Amino acid sequence: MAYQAPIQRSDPTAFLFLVDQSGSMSDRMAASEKTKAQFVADVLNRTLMDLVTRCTKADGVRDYFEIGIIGYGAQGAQNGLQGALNGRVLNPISAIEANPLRVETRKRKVDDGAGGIVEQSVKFPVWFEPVANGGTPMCDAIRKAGEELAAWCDAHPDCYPPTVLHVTDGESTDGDPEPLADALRQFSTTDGNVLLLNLHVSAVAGNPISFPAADGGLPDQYAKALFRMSSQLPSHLVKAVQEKGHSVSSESRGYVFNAEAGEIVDFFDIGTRASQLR
Amino acid sequence: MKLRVDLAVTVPKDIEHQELNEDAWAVDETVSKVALSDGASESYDSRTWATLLVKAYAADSAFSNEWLGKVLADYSSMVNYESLSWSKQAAFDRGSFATLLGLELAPNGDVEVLALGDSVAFHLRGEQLLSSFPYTLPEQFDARPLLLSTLAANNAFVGEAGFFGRNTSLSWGVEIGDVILLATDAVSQWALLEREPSLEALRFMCAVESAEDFEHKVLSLRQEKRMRIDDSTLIRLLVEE
Repeated sequence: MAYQAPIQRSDPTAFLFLVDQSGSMSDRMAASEKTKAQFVADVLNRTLMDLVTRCTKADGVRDYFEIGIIGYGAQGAQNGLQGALNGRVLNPISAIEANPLRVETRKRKVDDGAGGIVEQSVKFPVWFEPVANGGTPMCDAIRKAGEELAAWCDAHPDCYPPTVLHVTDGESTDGDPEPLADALRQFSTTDGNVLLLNLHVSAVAGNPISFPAADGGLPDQYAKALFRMSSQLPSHLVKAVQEKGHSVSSESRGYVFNAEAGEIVDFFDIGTRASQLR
Repeated sequence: MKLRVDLAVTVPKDIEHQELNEDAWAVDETVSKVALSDGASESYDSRTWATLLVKAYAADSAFSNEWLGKVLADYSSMVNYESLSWSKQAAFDRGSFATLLGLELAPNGDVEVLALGDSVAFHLRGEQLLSSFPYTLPEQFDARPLLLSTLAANNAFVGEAGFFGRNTSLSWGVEIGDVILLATDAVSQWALLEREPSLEALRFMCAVESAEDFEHKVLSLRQEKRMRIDDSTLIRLLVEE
């Protein structure tokens, strides 16, 4: 059975985020002050924080995951992480923990356990800033992801395979990405093929379609192509989708069309589930 | 009638790192109360949490919301939250999780088991398995287990109606010579998987004599993919006069 390799420090897995940074990502989300780029950056930072948190114990951070971000827009496809994390695309989670761009301090109110409310400082790290500029060189981004993950799979032949979470709001401007996506999904470890999950972000309130099993309800050729580019969900992710209350089947693909805020948050949460940490 | 701890052995999931073993157990002075806890991997400090739970049970087996509140207070008092890094704060906020398997021998000779989670107690007489609690089938380990959390809100099930009915065994009437085994999930699942034709796994658990022999067996079962790689603990209790 695929997608069952236990994740441990000697056998980590990888999460690679591909983020569309084209000009149209500066459009505002439906019913929100935030642009699509800002919202995606917020959710991505929160996701990285959650991944770090899952690996953090009282005695330190355990390297269960390697994490990378490839942003694509006016400058082509580039490493989306900066500073000490910019030297390589995939970084161990302990390096992610140690190198946010900044850590913001915010206040929150919590129960003091004796019937009162106290204000507590909490820290919010930021790794990724919103960018929205230029075209949509999706082919370049998928090609770069393929180069990284081919090497990663060679170096980690028995690990839980890498997951690619791709976020876009438009059509590729540098060619047909479908053959490249097909090639990306062919890279594998003994535990399964690379998983490619695609999220289409919408600026207008509409009818999101989450994790469809067929392309019948999708409105155009472009949406159907993204469906075909998406991996079929392995059974533990089908279960995770179910837990979120979406209808899903064993044929469902890792694809969300016309996503609004709630779907974006769910997509990142579901996409970063993997087999059990050891 | 009394209990004697005949064997207590553990093998960490990473054999090179016993210090990362998150299973814990404790017993009171008269061996009338024994507790075993399995700290969950995705936790901030489940080793400490598991240790506090078993020590608290060995000191006082009257499990209740108040009992749990005291253990939670002990856990919180060990951490200076403001001094933690952002990642440790976030991990602390996410909580620590552990099972609790508590066994008590009553003065009348009955044994009662409290089980929260997937650590299992087995009652054997001779070659016969009389009872296991809370699980009797290997498939039951596939479900997400009930765990005690350091986040009080996650323990709401403790106060629910029927809590003790669901989570405590019927009294086990024990006799001199009976064996009671307590084991964390990887060992327990193997014990229930390899029951046929004649309780092979449980017979091994009743007979193994040393930590070395137990470790050797666990490592070979992991190698053969017959036992999940996880912290693996076995406590063997004998009922004596």
